[in-house]
Amino acid sequence: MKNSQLYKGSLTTIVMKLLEENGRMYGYEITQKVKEITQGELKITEGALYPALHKLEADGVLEVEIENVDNRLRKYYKLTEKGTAETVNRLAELEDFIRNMQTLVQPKITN
Amino acid sequence: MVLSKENIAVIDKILLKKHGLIYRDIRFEILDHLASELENSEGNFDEQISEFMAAKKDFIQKTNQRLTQQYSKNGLQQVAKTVFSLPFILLYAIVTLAFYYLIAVHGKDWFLTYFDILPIVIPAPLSLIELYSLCTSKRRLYTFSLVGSFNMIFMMYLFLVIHLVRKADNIYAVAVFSFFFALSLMYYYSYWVAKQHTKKLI
Repeated sequence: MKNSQLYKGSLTTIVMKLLEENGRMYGYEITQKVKEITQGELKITEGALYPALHKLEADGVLEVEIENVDNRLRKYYKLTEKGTAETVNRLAELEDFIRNMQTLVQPKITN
Repeated sequence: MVLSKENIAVIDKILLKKHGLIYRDIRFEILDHLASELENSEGNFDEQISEFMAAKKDFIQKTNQRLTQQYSKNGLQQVAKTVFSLPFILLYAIVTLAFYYLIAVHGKDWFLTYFDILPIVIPAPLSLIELYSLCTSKRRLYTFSLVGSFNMIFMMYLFLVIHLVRKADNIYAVAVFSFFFALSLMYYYSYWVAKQHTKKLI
């Protein structure tokens, strides 16, 4: 990721948000979608993506569907019911974080 | 570029032989990622594959390493989940009562002659089957980490706990033995659940 230290804690939230919007996605598709949305500004570190996806799956946030696509197996991830609820919480937390950071970085000028 | 079945087999072979991705549940996902990336690029497969795989070495090995570590943890979590599940608690209570009754009737010597080794004997066939699967293409890290974690507990029984069972008073011996006995039975159920999880990986 671009400036990975800043984005590190947000990877799972980004993934969950994408899955909330797109229904189900596979690993490579997620990396490309992030690249597309941010116009190449943000690139998910591939090495971090799959451990994050598997962790979310183990936690019951994601469920998987495996299909045979173009001569190979493909694992699609989608949010579970728990995952959908969790996404709302995570996004709210992230929005709070962004707001707080903005306040810290650009404090309003008071008279 | 469009990848043929043979091209996919080449990538799969490189992942298995060159990068040591022996578990199918890890390999197929990395394979799909690499194949998708290749499909989105221009050029000839045969000309590009060596360079492409060399460039992806870091991603392949880091992902494999991190997933292997993660699955080991998951295996232990599955054991913990089993131990704190209602079916296990019920089974443990039933087994404890049954063995307490049997010891009261037949004595501890009789129990030690026939039963104390059971928590090792019962899981053995399943462990051997999983060990055998390591020599085949059916290797799955998900089931192997679960089996590994359970067997660690059973080894602890074999080398340590069994001596306590033999020396302890009846009530304590039964309580400890029953825990491992019930766990050895639940091992089969947990394995079956794990197998269902990886079932779609033909």
